[in-house]
Amino acid sequence: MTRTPSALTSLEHSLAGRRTIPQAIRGSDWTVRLLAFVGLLAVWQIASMLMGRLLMPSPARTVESFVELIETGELWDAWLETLFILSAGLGGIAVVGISLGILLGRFRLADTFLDPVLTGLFMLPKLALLPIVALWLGYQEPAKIVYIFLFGFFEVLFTVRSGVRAMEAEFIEVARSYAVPERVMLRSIILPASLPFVVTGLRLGLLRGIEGAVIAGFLLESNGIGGLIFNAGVSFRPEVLFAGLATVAVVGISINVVLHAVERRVAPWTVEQPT
Amino acid sequence: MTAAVRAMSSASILANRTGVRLLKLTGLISFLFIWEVAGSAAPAFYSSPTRVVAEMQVLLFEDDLVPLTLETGWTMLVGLGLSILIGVTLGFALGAFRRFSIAFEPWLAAFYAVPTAPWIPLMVVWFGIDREFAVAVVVIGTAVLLAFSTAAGVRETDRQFREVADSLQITGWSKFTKILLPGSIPFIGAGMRLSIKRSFTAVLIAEYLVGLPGLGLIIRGARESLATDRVFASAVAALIVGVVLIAISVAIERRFSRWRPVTF
Repeated sequence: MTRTPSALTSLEHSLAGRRTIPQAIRGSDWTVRLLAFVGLLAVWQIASMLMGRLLMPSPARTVESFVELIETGELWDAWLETLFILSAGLGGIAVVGISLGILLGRFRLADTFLDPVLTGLFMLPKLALLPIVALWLGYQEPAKIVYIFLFGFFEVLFTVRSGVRAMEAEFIEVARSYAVPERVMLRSIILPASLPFVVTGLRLGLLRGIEGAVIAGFLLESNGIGGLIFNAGVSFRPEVLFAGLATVAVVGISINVVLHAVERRVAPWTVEQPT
Repeated sequence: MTAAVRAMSSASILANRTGVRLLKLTGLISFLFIWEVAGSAAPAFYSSPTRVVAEMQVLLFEDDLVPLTLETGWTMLVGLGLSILIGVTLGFALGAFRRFSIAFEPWLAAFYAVPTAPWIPLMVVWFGIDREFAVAVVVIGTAVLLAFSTAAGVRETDRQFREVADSLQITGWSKFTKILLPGSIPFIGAGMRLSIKRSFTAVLIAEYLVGLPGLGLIIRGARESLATDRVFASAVAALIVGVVLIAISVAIERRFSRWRPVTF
């Protein structure tokens, strides 16, 4: 097995939740950034003039459509629906993912036994699970919640499991040598020590869950933010598409920023180095 | 006492490779056995391994599984090729020019925060319902990822070799071709591994959504027929293709970092 450079091993996780903005934020940097943003807007405006507003709505038209979507309540309704199934899915992910992650991290025998099935499910392209979910649960909320669960579950499970495994050597040996009973060990050592991994796993799982929610809105019952985007595409309204995409971006970034802050709070010692 | 026995026996099984393999095999067989039993009780709900094998033959010999999968693979290949061109160029600009990275990296990160799937309808609007739009979806989903991994590679290489390069007065173009490019190749390889995974999902969804010939269309057909055996057989087919792709991407990553001494 080739060993990869250590900077690489963290690449996947750091890419999944990039904090790219350098630590020391200087005023002049933000001037440059805002200038760049204005430049991007200008390019967008020119592109919309070249491509025609039917294909590429101008920035102004997009903002206008965004305001319309808010006024009609469409955007709000869509996100309310999505946030509902997302939180239900995430609740399931948290409960099952964390407990199974801790169990499998603790008990190698069970972990090894379940490994082929879990790995197979993990490697299965999530789209191929959609017909199974539809077959069993139909195409409404229950199906969507389960689909979101399948998207985010493995992030939590694998992050927590590897975290519990990694702590084995550090804390468990000490606890064992003091003959701490298993139940106390679980409550007062393993649970608190796995908290940072839980938060990281939940952040990754939530980001994957958003993707699952959008795909569910495309392919199951067409509602929520996925349905909004899908219908905007079908009815050829790119300005609505742009506005919808922008809200997905804002939600994604907010989740990243907030949960990164939580990660730093609960486990300041594990926060990764700035790249 | 029981705990001690359990610990001993589990330790002895997990201590050697054969034990681990046997245990995994037992897990897999138990799963298939339970599935078979459940399937024989309610085949319309669970299908079963034997039924899936039979349906796989239909998929293979009657329904063009292989040519359709190759269509999917070809789309990925073209899209990833374009993505590498765009991503690596952008990544070098980000990694090598500090000003450029300060100006654009936050906006690229915002772009990166959007999952690939929501872009698909826009790509349909822009590129129509032929294969071009699926290629565009791959580029949208992977170019920035490749740019970020390239940029990480350039920065890491620069950090490691800056002093050597400076003292040997290697600058400009030769620094680029002799140091930064080879140094960042393992990082590009790692980005490729992630990109292959992402683009596979993206192409499947794209094919599913508009009915473009490919593996995604097979899954869509299964969904529409709601024939249980077909649903499960298409999932198993997708799993096999996914595993092959993972093997390919791991091989690519390994090949890309083979020359590199295992230090730091």
